[in-house]
Amino acid sequence: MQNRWSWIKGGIILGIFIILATWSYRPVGVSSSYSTAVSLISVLISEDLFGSNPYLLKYSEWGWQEMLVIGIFFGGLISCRVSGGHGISTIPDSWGKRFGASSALRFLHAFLGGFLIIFGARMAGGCTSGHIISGGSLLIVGSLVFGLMVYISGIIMAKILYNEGIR
Amino acid sequence: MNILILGLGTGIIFGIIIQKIGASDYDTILGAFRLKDLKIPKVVLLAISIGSVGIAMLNRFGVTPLYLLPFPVFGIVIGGIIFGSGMALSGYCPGSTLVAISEGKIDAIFCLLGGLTGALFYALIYPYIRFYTEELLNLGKISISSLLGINHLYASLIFVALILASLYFFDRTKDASKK
Repeated sequence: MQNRWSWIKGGIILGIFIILATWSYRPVGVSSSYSTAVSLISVLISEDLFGSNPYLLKYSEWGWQEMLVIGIFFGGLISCRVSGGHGISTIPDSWGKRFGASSALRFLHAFLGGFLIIFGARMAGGCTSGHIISGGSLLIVGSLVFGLMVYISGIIMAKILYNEGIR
Repeated sequence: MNILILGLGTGIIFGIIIQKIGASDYDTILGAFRLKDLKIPKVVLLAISIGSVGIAMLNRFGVTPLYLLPFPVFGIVIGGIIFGSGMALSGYCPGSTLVAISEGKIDAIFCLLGGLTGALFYALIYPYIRFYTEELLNLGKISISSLLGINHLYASLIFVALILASLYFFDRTKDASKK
């Protein structure tokens, strides 16, 4: 495990980042960029689909947030390399202990989970970045409720998956 | 400065932060949902409390607006439930997926593909559900300060005080329970 920041250090740095990002341009968000990516891919595959779908039309511009998302990937890459990252992996430790060694099953969980997070985020109009971090730091009621629902729902799903009582 | 370059730079910093706090780590995220490792919730709570005071001050001095989001109850609640179950299933969120991929986690690539599929599916059914998720029971752009009718800066100071107090006492009781 790489040397990670303590929660206090991480919280302070993330808090300062939120302030600077919001001040520099806008509160951060991520999930709508998945819609933008799909929109731009759909243009290449089927112009009928792109042109007839109001949602894809709405999210068809490449802007600050899409560059932010690209940046997130490179930031992770830089940080991982500098910290001495541990290379390629397919199965997380605690998942493997519970579900075994099948990469295929892990990839299926990840795919389904990915489907649900973006579907849920678009339905709610934001994700952990857009609602919980940005919306929370703006004291937005809807965002705080979203955060609460995410945590409660995640606790229940984890209980189902790991078949444990809630401590 | 070019807005796109600004976005890229902001994202790079964000990605570094996500990686350094361990938010792209399945075991850490599930640890939070399994109530075994509350590091990420504590980081997020501390960050948004600091952020709220800073943004409130910037707003007070007229430097930045309060970018309020609406509260469509069904979209938020049902979307949140769906999102939470997905996050417990994958161990990733839309942003941390990208950091995870950059760390070499192959399963995160499948999470990304699932996410793009989910985005496509949502776009396809959007016209049929948007009334329910956006318009029906939309409480508007309410913040804690507007809801309670108090000054936003005061609200953020109360917010940060409550969060810091909770974090402090939570940490103390946790340490006390360790032999």
